[in-house]
Amino acid sequence: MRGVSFALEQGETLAIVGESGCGKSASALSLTRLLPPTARVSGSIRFLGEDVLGMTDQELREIRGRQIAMVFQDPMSSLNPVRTIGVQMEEMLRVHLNMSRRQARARSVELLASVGIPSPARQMTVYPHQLSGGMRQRVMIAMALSCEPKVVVADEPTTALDVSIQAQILELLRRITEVSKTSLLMVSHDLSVVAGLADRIAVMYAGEIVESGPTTRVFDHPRHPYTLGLLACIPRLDGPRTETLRSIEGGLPDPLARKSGCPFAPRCAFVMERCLVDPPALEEKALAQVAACWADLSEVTVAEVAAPVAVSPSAASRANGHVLLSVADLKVHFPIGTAIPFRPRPVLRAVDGVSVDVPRGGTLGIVGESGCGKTTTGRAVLRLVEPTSGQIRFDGHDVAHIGPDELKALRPRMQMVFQDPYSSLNPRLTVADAIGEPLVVHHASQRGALRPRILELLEMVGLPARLASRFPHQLSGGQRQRVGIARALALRPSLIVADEPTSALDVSVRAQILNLMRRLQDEHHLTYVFISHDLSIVRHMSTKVAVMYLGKIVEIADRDTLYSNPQHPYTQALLAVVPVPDPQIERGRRRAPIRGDVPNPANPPRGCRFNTRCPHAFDRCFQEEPELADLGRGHRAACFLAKPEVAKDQLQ
Amino acid sequence: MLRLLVRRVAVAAPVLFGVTVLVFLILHLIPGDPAQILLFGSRPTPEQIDQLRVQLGLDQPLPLQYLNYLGRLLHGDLGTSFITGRPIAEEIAARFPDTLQLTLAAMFVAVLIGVPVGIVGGVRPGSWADRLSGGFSILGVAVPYFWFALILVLVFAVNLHVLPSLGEGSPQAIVLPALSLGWGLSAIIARLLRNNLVEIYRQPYMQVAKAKGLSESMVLYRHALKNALIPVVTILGLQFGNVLSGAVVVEVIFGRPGIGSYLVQAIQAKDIPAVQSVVLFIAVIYIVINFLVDFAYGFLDPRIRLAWTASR
Repeated sequence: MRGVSFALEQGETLAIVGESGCGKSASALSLTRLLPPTARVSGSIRFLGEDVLGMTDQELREIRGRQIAMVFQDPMSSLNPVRTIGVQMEEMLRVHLNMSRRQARARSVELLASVGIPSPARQMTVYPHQLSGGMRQRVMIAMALSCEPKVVVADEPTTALDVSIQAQILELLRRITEVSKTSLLMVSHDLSVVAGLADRIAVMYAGEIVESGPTTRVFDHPRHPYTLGLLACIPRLDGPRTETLRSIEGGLPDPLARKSGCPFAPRCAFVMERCLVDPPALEEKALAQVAACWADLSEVTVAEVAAPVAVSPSAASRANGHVLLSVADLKVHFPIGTAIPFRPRPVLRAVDGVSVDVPRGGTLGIVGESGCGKTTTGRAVLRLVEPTSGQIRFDGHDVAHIGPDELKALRPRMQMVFQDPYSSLNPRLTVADAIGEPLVVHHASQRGALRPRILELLEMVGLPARLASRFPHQLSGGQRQRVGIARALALRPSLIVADEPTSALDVSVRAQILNLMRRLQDEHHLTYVFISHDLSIVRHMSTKVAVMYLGKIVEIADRDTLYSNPQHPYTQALLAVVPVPDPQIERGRRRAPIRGDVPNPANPPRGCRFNTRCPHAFDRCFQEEPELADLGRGHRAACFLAKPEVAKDQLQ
Repeated sequence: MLRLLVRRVAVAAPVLFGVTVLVFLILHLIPGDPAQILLFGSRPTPEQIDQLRVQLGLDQPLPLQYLNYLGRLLHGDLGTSFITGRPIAEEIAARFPDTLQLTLAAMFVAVLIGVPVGIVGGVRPGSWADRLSGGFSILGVAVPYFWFALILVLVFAVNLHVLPSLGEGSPQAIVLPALSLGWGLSAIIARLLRNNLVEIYRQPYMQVAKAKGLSESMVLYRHALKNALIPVVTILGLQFGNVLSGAVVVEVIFGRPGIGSYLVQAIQAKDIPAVQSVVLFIAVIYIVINFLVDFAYGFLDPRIRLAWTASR
């Protein structure tokens, strides 16, 4: 962090937004001096007029939790696994408010109830691993609120959660800030998430605040090119779909190698000579809005910047009718628990009867929340996991039933891009080795031709040739994912299954990768199966979209049909909860439309699998499972209430 | 819980079976005729040897001999000592309390030294205290306990005259044997606990505990120690057998009674049934301890405990 200043007023919500390594979490942690002892902190932090940096440990402890409470990102690891929820709830009340065990218990139950935890008294006795992620985050919030602190600091409180749960948690935070006069400092990488909550926003880049101001002003008239770029590179569900996303070129600067001038200059579209030598300071650009930029952006709007550059012929228009991949009644079951003789072994039905066709040159998007079976479907299609039953036909080959030799011969034509470019590259292989490995394994390159082919692949994915001898840890996240894509392309496949290829990447880099994938699809006539939890990205990438829930497809249609006329209540709800980077829309939201958690996939509900969370569920939904019924024009939905497409046409 | 018990017994049973086979075969793995070895030195006549063979059942086929052996074991009959003529079970029963006492005392010493040293190192990794604790651990693992025992005797008994060099006779007589036997284990515990603590202090829930405003000692005792001690308990259990076998040597060094010295005597006197039975006895203890460790694990870690209940 370099010279970060901000103020938080009573009852105010301030959001600090920025990408990984920009210093936003460090800002939050430094407030109560929770940074590791190796951190050197200078400047001043004043809380109610008192100097936090000058406090003794004793004084600090009285502030921590009591006055300034924290909610952290990962609810899975933020609770001690070997202590009950009750013990962890009670200890703060007992330490700070000197409550007796009994009082603390009673108060904890109240608090758990107030954050919407069902049967709170019972939950006091359970251990963290017995609760879902959403429930744990509610516990964390209840804990943070327990001593009625003046300030709650929430560091990426919804990042590890599914969209439907994210909506619930955001609603909870909004309610808390409205009801109590608690100040909220929210740290996030996602502008959309904070749009509805924050009164003010501070955007950080490379350890500095580059822009800050009232939320509506920052969203409507950003005055720093970075803010502008961030807003422009988010594919939006509430706007028209564009073929190419605007992206911020380049990557985040290395915090260890500082150059002179503005840190954003190398990636900036408005860069001037001055920016390279003279770092701009924060200056007032409009009422209460400051930005650190030499350029005048008062006339530039987000919409202008986000407008498509050049409309290339879309893959959809070229997707001919030929089916490349056809999946019929695919099932993948995993045994769970222990086998007991003479009793059927319990199984987890990860994928339970999925049927879908993907046309050559098209993109099938698969969306759903964690545990819906989207990843397993993708892997089963490539036979990276063995399907339990069902048909997988790929260009005339019966992938599900061929022998190992035939499968190996087919492998070059079906490749995968993985979610996490950090762990899917072997740390001991150089970039060239990683990309070259499939070529060597499949004897796909002559001895002398290997190197030129690797360089060709690097160029294809937009990486300079000098990176060939680097190791993965020397690359940025975006570069690694480009290597992952180059590796997948090496054998000239016709099908690529991409499993959340951008979810581990920073927002500004995400658009680059999506654009790259679109361009490669056009150039190499690729067919994609694009798996993501993010409905706006799926809309951007896909020609056809399948929505999965607990191992089944609940709705499938052409992209435009699905997004304009969703028929399944789950699809409708998912579309309704996706946050958009617009404060007006976000503030106007009603309560989160999906209640509760995803049920345990090992034990799905009887009847319709969505009946536990569906706002429209009626008697029949609890007895009978709806078929994936054809609604016309290729639109199918598994809901008794789904209306046929044809009828709608006739109405018009 | 009951089910887990059954499952663990099902695992332990074949191990136990294997042990009895091995112990049984000790007698037959020694080169030469056991009866002849037993009578060595007394210039036996062939008749005497044959008579002993019949007496020992050695004239019967091997599998039958094993079955007979197993049958006797199941009746609690560990055989009769060649030397004293008394039942071996009695001999062991008379001596085991002493060995158990030494083993437990050594484990106690190990925990008493190892846990604080581990905590001191783990709470502030990289500090001088941590380096000191690391040095201690290396010494503890590297220095053999029998040599350390001699040093202890030299310092505390010979030079300072504060503790007896003989391992029996007074309550403080157990101090030096327990210290020399427990010291190696204390080093292992210290190192393990230290590394666990360092790892746990990096967990997000530790930051949460700090952010809650808990004092450093509360953070340590309420949130770090229980998690860090789980692997230590396993090690304690796994090392119990090692300490027990170490007791064999330490007993000899300090002239303490116990199964250790009994085993050494038995070996020297070629009292084969006694050797067999002591080995079998130690093996059984090993298995029982492992069994108990599994349960202790569940007691400490709710994730494991609840998985047991869930699988019921």
